[in-house]
Amino acid sequence: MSSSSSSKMIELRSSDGETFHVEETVVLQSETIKQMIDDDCANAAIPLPNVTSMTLAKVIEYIKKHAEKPKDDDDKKVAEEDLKKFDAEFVKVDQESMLFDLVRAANYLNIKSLLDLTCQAVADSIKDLSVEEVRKKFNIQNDFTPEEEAKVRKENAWAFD
Amino acid sequence: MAPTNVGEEVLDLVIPYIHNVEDRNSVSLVSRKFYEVDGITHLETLARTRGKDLGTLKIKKCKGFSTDGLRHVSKYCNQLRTLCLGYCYHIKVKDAIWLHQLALNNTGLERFHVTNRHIYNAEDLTLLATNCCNSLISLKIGACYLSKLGDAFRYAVRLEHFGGDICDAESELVGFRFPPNIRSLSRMVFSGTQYMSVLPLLIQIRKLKLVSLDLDEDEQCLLYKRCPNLEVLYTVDVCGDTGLQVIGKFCKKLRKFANNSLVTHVGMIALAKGCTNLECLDVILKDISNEALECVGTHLKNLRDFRIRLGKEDGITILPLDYGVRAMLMGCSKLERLDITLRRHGRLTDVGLEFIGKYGVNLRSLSLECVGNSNAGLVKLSRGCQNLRKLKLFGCPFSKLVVTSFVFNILSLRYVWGKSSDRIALALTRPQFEL
Repeated sequence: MSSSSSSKMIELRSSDGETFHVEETVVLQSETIKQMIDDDCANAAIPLPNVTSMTLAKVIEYIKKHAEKPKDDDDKKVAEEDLKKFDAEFVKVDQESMLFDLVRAANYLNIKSLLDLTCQAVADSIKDLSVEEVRKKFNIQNDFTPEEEAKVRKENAWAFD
Repeated sequence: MAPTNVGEEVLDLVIPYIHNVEDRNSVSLVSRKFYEVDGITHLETLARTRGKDLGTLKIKKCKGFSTDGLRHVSKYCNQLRTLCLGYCYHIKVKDAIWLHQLALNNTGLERFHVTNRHIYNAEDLTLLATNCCNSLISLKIGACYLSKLGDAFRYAVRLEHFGGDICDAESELVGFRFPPNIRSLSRMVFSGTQYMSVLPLLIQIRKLKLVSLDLDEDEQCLLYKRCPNLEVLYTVDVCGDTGLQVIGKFCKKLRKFANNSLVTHVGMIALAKGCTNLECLDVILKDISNEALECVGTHLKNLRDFRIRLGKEDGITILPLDYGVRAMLMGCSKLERLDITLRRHGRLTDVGLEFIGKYGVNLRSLSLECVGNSNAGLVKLSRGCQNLRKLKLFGCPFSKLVVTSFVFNILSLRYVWGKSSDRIALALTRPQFEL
């Protein structure tokens, strides 16, 4: 069973077959994995077919950092500041596709704080973009007829007035 | 929804984090799917962030959301006292969980108005009425079978207002009872069957909205005779002047009256003499006379809202109504809204317009159709009406130039809407007017 208090290691396997060993206490931040452990499905390596090794490595970096416990109250404040800085740096990724992958991984692994962080980063990156730019960014086809599009634009012009 | 590519999947997750209105608008235009998602999450955002504080939510004639959106409301907004979804007939219906959830989460609902019959069912309405039995005072729904809502009405002892299109046959209503405090019935479709079940209640009814009537003259007149406490009556049919005479005689407390069937000046005189508490009067007339307008001015000192329309079936054409309108305005000094729809020119001349300007001191809204005979009439009107905010002109013989250059002489005027006989539509707001 999973309830041992020692730092039991959990093995995770990415979609491209790489394995990662992470302490159970750390990995419990993922609701999805926690559920698997609770259901006793974590005796062998946990396969994560939706997460690549590159993404998984980033996710593990994040949950490890967030699992660190401050020693006392003074330390707590410092740690909070440190964590904020870490988060801000964490979402500054070179490639946008990595950020998208992190959003999807956070959603799949059900890590609320990581989902909030990455989604907010994507939401901020949309700021002031035109519709065309948003479509391009997310590779989405416009399936409105020109009339429909004009109608929605008109509706939007009235919204929140 | 099943995302078909990575971008869609990500954007789908990100939408709740976009708070800027402009950005939300851009997203809603990306594709049809995100237009819908945006609609749902707007509700969701509202419910999640402000749900606990939200006491009243009214959505009227809106589309672009589904029962999923309502589920967010019923999940988060457990302090709701008023929920009105009026005339939202394009809600996407996915399931009925939202209402079940609302009934379970909320025990303090006072007003529940949902007219789209596809998004509620009798079982959950009954559950809602049971759980909110100490608070529910107003229930308005669309088509319904009262026989299936019997338990709901037994529990909701505080209910005062009910609205719904009753579909039951007479035999199904045997034993049905409205709660003891009921005093307003709206959206009623009255035929002989429902009529009998409502008749004993009428003495306590203060508001009656009848959207369809299948009663003969005697039955209708009996209906009005049984309503001595009626304050508000909206009806599609009033049985002509006979009905108005009965109402004038028996419904002495009437304050608001609107009728969609033709009457004449004879009936209007009877109504004005009988119901002197009238504040709002909206009638369609076969003919009108100066005498009837004078009578309104003499008796209806509390009139705030007066709308007269001449119907298509024209009766006798009477002299210009200029002096009748003057007498009415002099008498009804509280009048704030006046709609005059005359269908043919010559019944209210430039002289009448001058009177409206001079005596319509408290008018805030004025709508005129086929009124006046030259630009001079409008110029004269614009010298008065110093509290007017909204002006509508239909088929009046005023040039666009005169409308644009003179009406804003009325300093309080904010908005003009016009359509002349040559079909030129005109919509103006006061220059420099800021919303």
